[in-house]
Amino acid sequence: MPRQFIIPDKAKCLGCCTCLAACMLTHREEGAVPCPRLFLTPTAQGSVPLQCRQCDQAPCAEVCPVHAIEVQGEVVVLNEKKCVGCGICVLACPIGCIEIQAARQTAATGITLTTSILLPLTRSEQDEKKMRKIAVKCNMCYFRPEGPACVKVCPTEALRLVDEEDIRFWNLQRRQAYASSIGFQGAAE
Amino acid sequence: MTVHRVRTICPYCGVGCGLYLLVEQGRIVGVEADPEHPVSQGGLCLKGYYGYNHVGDPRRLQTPLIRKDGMLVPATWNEALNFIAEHLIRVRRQDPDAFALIASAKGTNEDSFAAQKFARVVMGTNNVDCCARLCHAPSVAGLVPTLGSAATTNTIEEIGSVTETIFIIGSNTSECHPLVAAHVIKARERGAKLIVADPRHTEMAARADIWLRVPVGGNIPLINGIMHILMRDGLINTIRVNRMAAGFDALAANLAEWTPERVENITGVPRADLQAAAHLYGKASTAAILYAMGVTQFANGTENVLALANLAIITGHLGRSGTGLFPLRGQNNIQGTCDMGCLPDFLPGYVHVGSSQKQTRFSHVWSVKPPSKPGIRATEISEGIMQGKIRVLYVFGANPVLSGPDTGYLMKALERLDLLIVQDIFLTETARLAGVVLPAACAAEKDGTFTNTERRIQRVRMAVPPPGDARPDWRIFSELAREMGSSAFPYRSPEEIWGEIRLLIPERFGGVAYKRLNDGPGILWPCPDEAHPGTPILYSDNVFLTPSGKAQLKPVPIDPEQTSAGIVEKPDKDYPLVLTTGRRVYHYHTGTITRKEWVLNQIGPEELVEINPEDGRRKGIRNGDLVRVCTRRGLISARAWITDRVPPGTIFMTFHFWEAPVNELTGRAQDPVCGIPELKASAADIKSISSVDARMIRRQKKERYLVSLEVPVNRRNVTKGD
Repeated sequence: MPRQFIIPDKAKCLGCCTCLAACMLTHREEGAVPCPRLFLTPTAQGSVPLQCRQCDQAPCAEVCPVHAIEVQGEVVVLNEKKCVGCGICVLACPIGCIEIQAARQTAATGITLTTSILLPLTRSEQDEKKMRKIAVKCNMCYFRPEGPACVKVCPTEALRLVDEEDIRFWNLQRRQAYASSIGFQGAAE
Repeated sequence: MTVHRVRTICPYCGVGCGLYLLVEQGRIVGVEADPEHPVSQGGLCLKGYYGYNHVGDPRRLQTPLIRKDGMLVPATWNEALNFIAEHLIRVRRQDPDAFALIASAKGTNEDSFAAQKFARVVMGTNNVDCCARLCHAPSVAGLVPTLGSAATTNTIEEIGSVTETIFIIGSNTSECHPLVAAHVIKARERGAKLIVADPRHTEMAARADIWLRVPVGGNIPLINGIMHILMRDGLINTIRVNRMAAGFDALAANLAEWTPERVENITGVPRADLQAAAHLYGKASTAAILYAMGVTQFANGTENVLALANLAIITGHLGRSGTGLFPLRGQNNIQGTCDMGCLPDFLPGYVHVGSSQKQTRFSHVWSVKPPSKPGIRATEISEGIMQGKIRVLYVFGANPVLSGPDTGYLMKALERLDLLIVQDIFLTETARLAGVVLPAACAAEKDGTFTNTERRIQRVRMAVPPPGDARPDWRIFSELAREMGSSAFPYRSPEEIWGEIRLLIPERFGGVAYKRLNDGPGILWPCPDEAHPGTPILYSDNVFLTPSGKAQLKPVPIDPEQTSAGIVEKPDKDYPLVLTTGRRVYHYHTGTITRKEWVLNQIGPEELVEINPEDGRRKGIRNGDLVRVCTRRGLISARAWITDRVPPGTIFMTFHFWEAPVNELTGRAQDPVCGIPELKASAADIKSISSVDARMIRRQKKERYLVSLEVPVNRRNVTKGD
């Protein structure tokens, strides 16, 4: 099977966070740390959700001291049970799409978590110490037969699932455009 | 296990997206988007997809509560209705105008109709208002005299498929109406141009072809400037304008002084940008204006709306597909609640209470002549209580203790009431202060209709039964009316109420039968008879709903001495910043529902104050610091978000969090025409504080809003049945 990853379409994304919510809920149902694996990134042209590109020679997997991150088939998967929250993968990721999150267990709601900047004031410092730090990254919802949840819910279809077939097609198109620019008119299959 | 799919309408914003609730064993287990819905077309935002868990939340109210010895204790319906009826009969005998009702914009049309009928027929007062007073009252005051109706003129779908230039002003569309924004994105993809006027660098501003960073309160100079340029450059067809509208000469005289240079001096918007925007809008063959709270929530909100109406009229961008004015409505049924007459000066169908000629049909059907003196506005209620005029307040599906303005004053006033009745689905911050609390069914638990922001009347369906003894609002009003000896509420179903509405307002709703709504995609009013397809486009052929049939141009002058933005409470030495308020995509209004949704609350767990980096540097505030925000009315604490989204000198907060209740800070300055408060501008100051101080402020708010009171009902001692 060819490799896949997800990219946002700048012209279509609203910055509406629906993908983040889908991601969070899907992983919660799977028993994983319930937080978004897409990172809403502010830019001058609006916020954009970014996520792991599933690198072939994944630097995060190479540096992980406990082998919690592995390239499994076409997806780079992080095993949360093994993760020790050391953060070396965060430093290694060339596109900044792994983050350390803090999760904790409460009796009322099961696992809850929050990003480190949004620690609500209800939590005392002792509470913070009890939290388990863990790395999270996009795993393409590999456990979900219908594919990544974020792609499915986006109201403007701004998230695009790209596979090697797409890349081959785009590349061919570009080569044909280039060929026509140097005099070879007309495309052929 | 079998899963039923129930086709219904999203209960959040005014877009009215279509969805299916997935129901398993009497519980909602999921949501699917409706691919055939004309607006949402198979899309939903995160509130639509994931905001359904509140329906089965254990904190839902399941039984009436009556205050005894200071505590709210469970009671039967008989006890509660008896208690209220006794009070209300006494008030009615002494002075019907001592009663006031704030109606919900989240209920169905049938609920809203029953609410205003209860106030008018049973209590004999026009003291009924809804939260339109806090959002689109200026649209009513500004568009009714100029165009004849305050409603959106065209359908949302046209924005995506037809419109050439889209002008968004004072609307954070992608966060507050995501599925409207999706149509804007669709339009951009086929080459339409987007102009955004907003002080904040919103997601829409980031995607605009031209972004006009108008300061808070600078709308009128900006719009007048655009019209000046269009006149100067000969882009106005004066013959056509004079044929379809009255008052052009006066408008033209007023516009002469609004040179781009003057606009640039007042607003800081570069004249080149203003000219480019004016030409994009004026030269387009079809152009639409989308606006929301950034236009209306000002002490000159009505004038802001008038200015926009002038712009649409003189450019002729009305009455054709892809043109028009879109006042984007914030609540699922605020359009319907206004249509149903939950307004102190209008009966259902916008019949003025003083119009004796049109009133007769109401007297005929209701067998009672509705009162003809306009009632009190929602924003005047706290003053009315303080003066001893209002003694009993009935709050139906609203949370004014957080939605404000100046809630400190409102809370003081509420203490002075003889009786506060609150009817809601949760024990809201307002309900915690009530004498009687009545448990209501939510949108997924009742049948009826919602009217979305484009006037589309859509069927809402019951998917699950209400929890415990909770009842649909229309039924509560009917039972209370019967308890008070009225025979005007014989309804056995919402369809019977709708039948009465069709009978009373045939020119708008006569043809909107339930059986037509059941299968179809909803009907846009006016729809006078059952053969009529509904009216997607108002004012086609440039025939307006004004008495003369012509549009009325109303010049909007401002004080010629004015050199800065037109807001009441200007920043000064002690309060050097402008605090402006709004919403975020993952929460909804006072958070009564969305704060209980795990997913939504996890994405937005706390309030963030947007502060420009320049102000942050000057005040020594870093990203993520805890800050104290204060105005002349109070202080709250929240976390700082240092961001270019806000311009220097302006800070932004939302009203979603009781932890940081921003409406303690907003002022009561009002628009003299329609009474909307200036929620968009208050003079404020910020200061970095320690986490110890922040925790102390949080504790104070927790006590103030009686947060501990809202515990799951099943942990209380509940007496069932009646």
